[in-house]
Parts: sequence; structure tokens; C-alpha cells
Amino acid sequence: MVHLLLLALMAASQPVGPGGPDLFIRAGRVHLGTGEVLEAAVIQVRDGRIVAVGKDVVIAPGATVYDLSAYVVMPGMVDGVSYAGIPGGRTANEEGREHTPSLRVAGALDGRAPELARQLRAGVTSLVVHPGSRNVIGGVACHVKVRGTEGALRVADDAVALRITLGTDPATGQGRSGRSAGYMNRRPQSRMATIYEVREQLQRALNYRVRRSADDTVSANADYETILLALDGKIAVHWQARTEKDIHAVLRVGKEFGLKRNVILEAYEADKCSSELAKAKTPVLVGPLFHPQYGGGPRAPMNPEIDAIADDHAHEHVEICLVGCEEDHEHKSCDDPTHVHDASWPRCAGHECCVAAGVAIAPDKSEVHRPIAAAWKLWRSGVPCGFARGGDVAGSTLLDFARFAVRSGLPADRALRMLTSEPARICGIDDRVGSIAKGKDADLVVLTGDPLLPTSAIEMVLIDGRIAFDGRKEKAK
Amino acid sequence: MTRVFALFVFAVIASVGGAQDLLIKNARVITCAGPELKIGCVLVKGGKIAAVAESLDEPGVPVLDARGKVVMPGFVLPHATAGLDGRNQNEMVPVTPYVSVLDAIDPSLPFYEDCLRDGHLSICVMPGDRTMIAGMGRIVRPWGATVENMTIAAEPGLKIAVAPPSGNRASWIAKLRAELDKGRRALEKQERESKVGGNEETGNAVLDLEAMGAKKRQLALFRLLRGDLTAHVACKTAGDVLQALKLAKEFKLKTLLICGPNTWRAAKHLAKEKIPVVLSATMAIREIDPETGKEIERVIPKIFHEAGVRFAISTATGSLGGRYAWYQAACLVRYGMSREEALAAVTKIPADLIGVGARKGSLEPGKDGDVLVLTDDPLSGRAWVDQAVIGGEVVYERSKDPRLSEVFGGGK
Repeated sequence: MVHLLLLALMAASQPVGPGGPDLFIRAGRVHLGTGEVLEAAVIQVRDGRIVAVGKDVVIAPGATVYDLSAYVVMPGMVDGVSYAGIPGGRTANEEGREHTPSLRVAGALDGRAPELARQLRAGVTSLVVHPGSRNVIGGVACHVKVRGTEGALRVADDAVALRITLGTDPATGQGRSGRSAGYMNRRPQSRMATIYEVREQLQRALNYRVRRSADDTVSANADYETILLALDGKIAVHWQARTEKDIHAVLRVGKEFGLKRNVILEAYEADKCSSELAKAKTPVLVGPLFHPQYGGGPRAPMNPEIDAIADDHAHEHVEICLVGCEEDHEHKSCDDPTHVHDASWPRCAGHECCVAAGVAIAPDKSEVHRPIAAAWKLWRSGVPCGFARGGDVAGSTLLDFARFAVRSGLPADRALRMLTSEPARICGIDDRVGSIAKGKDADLVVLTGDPLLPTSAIEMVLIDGRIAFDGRKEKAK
Repeated sequence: MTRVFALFVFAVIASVGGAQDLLIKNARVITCAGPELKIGCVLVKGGKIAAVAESLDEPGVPVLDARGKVVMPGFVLPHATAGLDGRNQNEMVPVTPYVSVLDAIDPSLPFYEDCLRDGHLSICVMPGDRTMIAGMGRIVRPWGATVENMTIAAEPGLKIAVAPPSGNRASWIAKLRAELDKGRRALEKQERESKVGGNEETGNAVLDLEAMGAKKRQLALFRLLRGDLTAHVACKTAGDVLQALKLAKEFKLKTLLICGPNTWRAAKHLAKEKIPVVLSATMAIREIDPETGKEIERVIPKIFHEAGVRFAISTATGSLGGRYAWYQAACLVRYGMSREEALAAVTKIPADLIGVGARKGSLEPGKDGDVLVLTDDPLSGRAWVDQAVIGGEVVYERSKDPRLSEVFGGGK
């Protein structure tokens, strides 16, 4: 009955464009994203923005009303680390140079990439889309709304953070035997060289500023200008730092250069140095909580040797394991379980070669609880943190991360904040998204029950006040 | 590392006595066979469930007070290729009916440790999907130092793959048919040559195959062809399902279909024929519509459920939640199944399908005393197995789980 009513209302009221009438959403329960919960509240939306939310919002006569009183509403989720919309998925890496700071992901997005629709179905409305991890300074990450007015994505902010990758990802594939020095062999081949590259570039940018201020014939350099944005705190710095030693390197280099807005990604060992992170007030985007390699997979996730092993096998990987995918998203898998599977390689459900690889990999190390418990440990230590999916990982959703973290002891209200307002704040996009409050974008997720119950389904997603996903309609097909 | 796990297993064994009697009291009881008891008791005597009732007293029987907890039968995994020694669960020679997972199950694998921790108390371990006639499976519990100790049912069936791991499907099927045919002719010859009388009902000769000199290598295939063993047939696509059914009819095989996600187009046919199946752990697949180029998400159990197929669902370690039977059941509810149907798909139905329905899959008098004591409702997403009881013995206690206390640092 409710559903029928819902459909009828939606059919009557679909276009909510600029200057259109206000939209009123009557919800059974509203999680504001800040930890606060309202029962039986009304959300008022005008021109894609929230005008008011509360129990006593008066519904204007003649206005459009969505009656969702049988449902639970929460803010659209914010994924702080995504590679969605980049043609070729995460493998779209710029490897021509060690550092490409002025490269902007925003200019390369495929607005109709299937991954965006997947995120939408999973209730994620905002993504911070990053460049890949195969060079040291990858470029500038942007804030993307997964649906805009024409059905494609909308870039909400084309410069959110400078992406820096530590560890061995930027060195993967380098130093191959049999290759002459030069093109493929010049890039950093060790962890220390990677960090050296970062220091070098930050210092060069500072020198550039001094030179340019003293001499106006020095021509502008887009790369250095971008790094200066980060050094001046105008954009954040998102560091991929998986291991404890990489995290320490972030804190060290950050201190040396006075970087104020450091954020750590894929910090699988963050729980080992949570007190330092808390002291430095350095936030962590937690995730993926599950990865075939880092958790639940064939190799122990927290093994400090893992990168070394990966290096040893990197050569065979590229040579043997590459299975070209017919579709645009490159897709690699391997039957040989003795190979280390690169953490950055997406596994794509439904393709036989990946399924076969899944069968071949025996789950002989089951570190599944550790990464999940890390979220709880970071929270307990006072490290600011939000969830981030970090790519297309084995069909798991951002919401699932939160559900499992709650099972492992994270308080439910905290888990909801870590899906919404916390990642928005960490990424500096909380002026627009991450909570249901006056002035914020009307990005809403409508669920059949408590968001943290695995039995609850996402029925509808609104972006900028428009229905971007409608589970009811999908069912009717 | 393996040694550590072995120690873990032994430590658990050493910590419990040989108690076969147990009275679990004051818990919410999900029997998976009728309505739930808001407050109830489960009495296990001699390893078997003696009674399930709102109130029970049995002097002399140790009591497990499960106040505030939820009690349910152990989960049943209908098809697992994990739990075998090493990483290779597939023979490279296509026809190996004579091998058995008996010789490959490694009780010290963390897989079994996880099964115990996650409440998967009956596991049908099978060879992989890549060998044509891949060998014999085994139903085990995740507890015991040897395969013999772990065994629930020795020979539940023979694994067959109707789809090749790669290459030509037609030649694969032709070879499979030829192998079965060769086996049938050899069996008929054996039956003709032996002078033992026939069974009118089945038409089969009542034979002791071994006594009449059938070669060890042939035994499993003969037993399959005589209907003593079930064929657990791995199907990748809807076409494979039809092939499997055709072969089953042709050779009069008892079959259990193990359906991969791409079999969904056969759902209506399976429903019409009333054939229950085991679904793989993959909940959804994505297909690209060749006309529009748009991606379509197919939710597999939803399609099978809506078509009316009775199914059990598997678990697999390839995703965050898919390794847990409770999570799989919760997903089924999300996709529109009732609570009872969802729980049955991880308890009663898999037990029935793998042939241990009389012993496992529900809390009913006469069945094995395999009981889980959960901290919360299994579908809440927050439940942990607090205690696992196998045959009336408490074989797992969360408070003493070394792995969890290491991970949670004693805080949880």
C-alpha cells in the first residue's frame, strides 16, 4: 500500500528543478549523519538543497510530498577514496613520470561509467575520485556527485586533495631484469626512494616560489603551483600509506614541510600507530576492510614482508597474470596462487577468469577480523576517521564496512557518522554533503530499516533533491 | 603457522570433557522447524537432542545458562572446496572418480578454525570445479584432530563438472558422456558375470562390488551409476544445468546441482521440474546489455526465489560478508525472502540436500546435538557465536578464543 502510494506520488512529482516548488519528505526516522536521530520528521528541499529538517516543519499546501513514513532516511554516503568513473578503473595510472601533481582526475571522468551506478545502488552519493597509485605524486583528486542533472556524474569540486602514494605501488614493475636503464628503470625502486621523491618535489615547489617571487621572468609551472596549494593548506594531501612505516613517514614528512591537512588512505596498519595519529590529529580513511590480499585473502594482511614478496613477483605478474578484458575496465587475474596479487587489481564479479582465481586461492590465512577491528581501535584512540571503499573490492559496499565494524564493537552512531559526516569533513567537502542540515545538498538514502542491519535494503537514493535511484522502479521492470 | 592452528585445535579438545549431555536454558530458541520459542530450553542426551521446550529440567545433566542469548542449529555448508590441504583442489587428469577429499582434508587449516568460530558445524567438502569427474567428497564437522574424528558422513557424493574450465564445451560433454557410458558398460559386464540375484524393485543386482572384483578405481563410478552415490554437479551456466539434467536422466543418476551465478536463466526450468539446488556464495552479478550498453545487476538468490526454486546457499571467502552463513541469510531477507526461508537456506535445506537431513539442520528431538549459542539474533548482523555445541559437547567458547582476543586485545 505504502509502495503504491509512493510510486503514484513520484510519478506526479518527478521534476524538481530550479525554481520549482519545494519538496517535502516525510520520513519515519531520519539519521542526520551527525549522530542525531529524529523520529517522524519532515525534510524540506528547495532547488536541490535542504531548507529545513525537523518534526515541526510545516508542509506548504500544494507542495510536492514524498511520504516515506515507513522508511528510514540517512544522508547520502561519502566515499573518500574511489576510482570510479576513470575509464579503465584504477589501472588508469600515469606512469610516465614519478610525479604528475597538476594532473586532474576531474578532466578524465566517464560520466556514465557502470561503477557510478553501482555506488548509487549502494547509497553512495559523493565520491572523492583519486588518480591511481602507480606514481608517487599522482595528481589532484576531485569530489564527484554520482548523478547530475543529465544522468551523468557531476563534478562538485575539481580540486579536493593532492594524492601521494608511498610504499611499493609506485615502484611496482620497475627494475625489471633484462630491461635497459631509462624509461622503465628510472623510477623509484625502493620505499626510501619513493619518500625521497616526495621531499624533493615539495622542496622544489618551495624553491620555485622563492625564485618566482624574486624574478617575474620565471615562468609559471603548473606542477609546482599545485604542490603549493597543498603546502598552503588550500587542498588536503591524501597519502596512501599501507604499513606502519609508511604512516610514520607521512607524519615525518608532514612535519618537515608543515603540512596541515594530511589524510591517510588504505592504512592497514594504522591501528599499530593510533596514538601517534591521534596526537598528530591526522585523520584516516579506513578501508577497504576486506581485500583478497589485505584481509581474508591468501596472504596475511599485516605481514611487513608482503611488499617485498610483491616486488619479487611483480615481474611474473605483469608478464603472466594479465588477462585482457573485453570490456573497457581492465581486469586481471591469475590461476597461480603462488603469485602475489597486487592490491590495486580489481576483481570483477561475474567473470570466469576471476572466479577461477578465487577457487585457486585457498584461504590459508584468515585475517578477516583484524582490519575490521582496526576501525574500532582507531575510534577508541581518538583518531578522526571515516570509511572509504578504496576501489571496487570484491562486491563489498561501504555500508557493509560499517555493519561489520559495528559487529566488532564500533558504536552504531559512530559508524553512521563514519559513512557520512566524518569522511565529508576529512575531505573538506562537509560544507555541501555528509549530513542532513539546512543549506546542505539534498542527498538522501532511503532504507527499509535501520541502515546498520544487513537485512535493510536501500529503496531509493536522492541526489540534489532528485530521485537518482529507485529500487521500486527496478523491481517493476 | 600451521603448527599454531594445530595447537589451537588440540587446546580446544583438551579443554572439554567427553560430556554428551547438556541442558541449554533460558535462551530464545530458533528451531528452524516451526515457531521460535521466546524463552526455551534444548536438552541434549547422549549426543542427540532429547527435547526442545519452553521449560525443561533434567537432574544430573550439566546446564548451560544462555540467558539473553539466541540458540539455533549449527549452520550447514552444502558445498565447500576449501578445507583441503594445499591450494590445489583440482586434478589435472579429467577423470579421477577414485580420489577422495578424505586424503586431502587438513584438520589444522584455519578454514576449520573459522568454521567453528562462525558456527558452520556441518561442511560438505568437495573437490574443485575444474575436473570432469573429480572424486569423492565428505561431510565433516570443524572439530577433531583427524579426518576420521571430523567425519559426519563418509561418502555423500561424487563431484562432476559439466563445464570445462576452459576450451570446448561440446568435447568436454562428449568425453563425460563417454566416460559414464564406459563405466555403465563395465558395470553391466560385472553384473552379468557375477551370479548374484537381482533386486526386482530397482532392477539393479544386489551386489557386493568389491567382493566380485570390481577394481578400486572403478568402484566410485559404479556406485554412482547404481544410485548409491549422488552426483554433485557443478554448473556454470544455464546450459550446463540442462546438460546435467539430461545426463542424470540418461544414466539414471541421483544429482545435486551446484549452481554458479550464471545459471540464473535456468531458474524457471528448475522451478517447473521442482529441482532444489545449491547456489554459490555470489549474491549478484553484473551483465552489460549489448543493446543499450547499460549494466544490469542480477541478484541471483532473488531470481531463484521469485521463480520458486528451493535452494541452499553457500559461503565463500571472496568477499567481506559472503564467508558467513548468517550474513548470507540476512542478504536473502534483504532480497525479499522471509526470515524462516532465509534461515532454512543455511540450515535445514542444505542438510536435506546433502543427505544428512535426518541428523542436521534443525533443533528437533532425535537429531544431533549441534547447537549454536549466539550473542544476538543471527540476522541482526551483530551476532557472534558465543558457544558452539557439537553432539552435546561445548567445543568452542568465544571467551577462550585466542585469535579473537589477539585481534580485539581483550577489549571485546
